[in-house]
Amino acid sequence: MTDKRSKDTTHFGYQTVDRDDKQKRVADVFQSVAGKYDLMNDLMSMGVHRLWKRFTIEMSAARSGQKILDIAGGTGDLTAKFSTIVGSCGQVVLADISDAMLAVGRNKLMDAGICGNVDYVQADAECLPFPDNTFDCITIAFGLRNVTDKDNALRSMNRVLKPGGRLLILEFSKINNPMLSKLYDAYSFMALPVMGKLIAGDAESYRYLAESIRMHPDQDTLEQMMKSAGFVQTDYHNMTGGIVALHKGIKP
Amino acid sequence: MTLLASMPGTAARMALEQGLRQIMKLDPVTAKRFAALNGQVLKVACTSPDMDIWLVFTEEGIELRACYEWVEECVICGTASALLKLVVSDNPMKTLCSEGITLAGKSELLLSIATIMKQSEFDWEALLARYSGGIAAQAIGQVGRVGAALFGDVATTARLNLSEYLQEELRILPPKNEVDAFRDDLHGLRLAVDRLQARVERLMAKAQQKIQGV
Repeated sequence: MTDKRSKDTTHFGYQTVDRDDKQKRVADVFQSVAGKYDLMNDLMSMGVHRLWKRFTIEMSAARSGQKILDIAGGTGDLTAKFSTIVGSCGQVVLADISDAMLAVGRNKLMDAGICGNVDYVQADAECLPFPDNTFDCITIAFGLRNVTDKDNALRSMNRVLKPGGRLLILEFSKINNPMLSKLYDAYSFMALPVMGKLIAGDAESYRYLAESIRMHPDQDTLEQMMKSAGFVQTDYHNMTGGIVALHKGIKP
Repeated sequence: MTLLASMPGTAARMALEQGLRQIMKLDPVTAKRFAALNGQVLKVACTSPDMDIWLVFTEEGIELRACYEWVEECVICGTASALLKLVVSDNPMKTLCSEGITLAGKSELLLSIATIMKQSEFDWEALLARYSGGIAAQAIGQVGRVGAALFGDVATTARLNLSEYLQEELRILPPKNEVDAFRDDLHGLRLAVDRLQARVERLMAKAQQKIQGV
């Protein structure tokens, strides 16, 4: 629906690539940046990503005993918090397509003493390896824009959610303020690759980050995609002027 | 989106939570007592300014939430000034009644919080010692304690002597006895006027009857 390209190609940033090739390229990006991922997040967002994630946690309304799936969970920021909320009688599954990110996340959480109710699964969001109606809540933070077929992924999430369960998508989005938009463009296309080069030794991955954000559907389009995938009571909250938006949907 | 749920509001709440966590480290007993409230939620509904905040007690500390979708154990509702008075009050139940604060749900939770706060003994010197060393922290703490005791004594003495000074020395205000005597006189005068008015009315009524009789 969103990928207005031929069936065999898709976008990878501003490039057009074979659909089968995108997954490998995304994996390469995260393989390259995994070690410095948290540090880069803090530097790039100036720490604000913690606020965005905190708001996501609050909107999840997670509670003790629930089963939560954190897709593209990466280094486990959301998983760590969910783990304490659901407690020993609940379960959190940290899923990521990148084995490098999953390894960094698992080591980080284990070092922090977060274990017992956290499982790690290397999985593709488009074909989640879980039975139907498994989870009370699914979150995907800064991951959906890297998925090749977003509609397919949303349908897959809808399938594994329990009826009444909620999906939360935290993702970069479109800024409404033209002035802020110009500043943001200048920052993301000029500063991010430089920071990536200096800190992570990889400018290309952070150029891809800036490009992939521009190629990601805007707030209303993503909400419409969620509805098409079967979610109801869909809604979104813009944060930091629309740089990031949190979409929410319920499985009927 | 409410102010507390906005990004600045979220930042403020997170900073406050972090601050609370640091303070709790100064008194492990208080921290343990709060941890025992794990899972309980207190909603503070401020009517002026209009703002709701949820205090979620967890084993790690107290979370401040701007939204909460489940049922909370206890809800207190009142103006910001009334709620502030409740926080600093030595007798929370009396403040609850006198300040028009409404309480719904389990009052035990609020009482538990008040008791824990009352019994808390935060070791501020330990916090200071991390940065200045033990000896300097002890000296600064001693100065602080002496200063606080001195300030308390001065405040009490000033409170006790201020009225006497204003009334007897400066004579800006009348002494209490004078005010009482004046009030008694005024009361007597009011009664006398009332009686006189009643008498005049009675005489006028009699005069009216005589005129009608003639």
